[in-house]
Amino acid sequence: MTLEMLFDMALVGAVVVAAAYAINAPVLIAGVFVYIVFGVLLSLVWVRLGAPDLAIAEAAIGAGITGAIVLDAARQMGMERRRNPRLRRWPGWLSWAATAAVGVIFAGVFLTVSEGRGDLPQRVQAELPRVGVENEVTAVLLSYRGYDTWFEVGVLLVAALGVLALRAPGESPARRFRWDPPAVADGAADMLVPGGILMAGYLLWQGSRGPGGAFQAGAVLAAIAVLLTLLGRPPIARVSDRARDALLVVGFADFLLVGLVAVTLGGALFEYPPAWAAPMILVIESAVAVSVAVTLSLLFAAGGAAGDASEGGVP
Amino acid sequence: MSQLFLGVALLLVLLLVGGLARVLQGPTPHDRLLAAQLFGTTAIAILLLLAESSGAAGVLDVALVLSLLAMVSVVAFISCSRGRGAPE
Repeated sequence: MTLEMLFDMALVGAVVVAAAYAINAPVLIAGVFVYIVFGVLLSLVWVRLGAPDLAIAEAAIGAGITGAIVLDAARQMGMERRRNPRLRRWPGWLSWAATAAVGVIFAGVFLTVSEGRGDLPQRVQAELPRVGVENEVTAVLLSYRGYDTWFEVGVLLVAALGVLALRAPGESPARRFRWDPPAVADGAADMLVPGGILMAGYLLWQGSRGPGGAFQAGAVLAAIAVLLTLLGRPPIARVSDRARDALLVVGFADFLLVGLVAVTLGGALFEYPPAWAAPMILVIESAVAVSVAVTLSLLFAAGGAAGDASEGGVP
Repeated sequence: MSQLFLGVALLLVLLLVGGLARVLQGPTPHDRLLAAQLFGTTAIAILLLLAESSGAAGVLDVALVLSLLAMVSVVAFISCSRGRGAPE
């Protein structure tokens, strides 16, 4: 047995243990922290599977956004709370059976895909020069299946609209966390904000030749926004409603616009001419990164019970 | 050399599993938080070792993102325990 196999087995074991305890932890806050650890372990798994793009996305989302969301939810439910007794109404065998069924389906999908993928990786590689980017993942997302990605950006837009629809007209969706953050947190945030923006820009630019891209860049930006929201300075409250809506829509609209430009240049929708493909993809990715960042930070900033007088609304 | 790095990374993964006990036992939320933070740091160390042993692109970027954002959940936690509506 090689050391690689040993390492992978230990990692998978750690993921399974963390997953089991995240669900079964006796105290709510313990489950929350194990869940955060689970996200970190998952990004290690993506690295071992040779998918650094996903590892970066998982690291940014897990450490920066879902961690804050679940901690905030735990605060609203009472951190020291014991396990929810209502969950025990579900018979244990039912959840095990459901998990086993999903496992069988995944195993089936994995076996079919690993058998039937044929020469697909070679074909992706062969077409790369015409796509204008060197990163296969970006090529697949933005070019080979531009339609799907465009609609995925649309799904994010719908989620943001859903959040905004729950607020009264004119009511700010950004909660104010009213507390006195320790000076060290404020000071560290002031240093992290430029670092985060630099990192997002790097990931965006890097996405055409290596791991990175619009979603990763947007997630890092959103995590920085979550940090500022926690410190009582939500960036989303600094722009007007109209500007915020424009930022939410720009990814979806810009994606379509570039796709239509490709049509006027004689291709199909999202069939970028090879000479222009690289800049066109960068234009799409930049706009999508902005929309992803604003959407994700809105999801956190607007979270919590609607009409919560202690935090909601404009100060 | 890459085998040595991988071996150290394996040791760190085993330490992670041991550290889970502190997250689960507590007894105070702060103990759990510090253990979870230690996990983040250990994961960064594992990523650096993996980057050196495999030479794969992008692994260092994962470590960079993790270290950049490690503070977010700490601030989320202290805002929970010291901010408004906190149980304590």
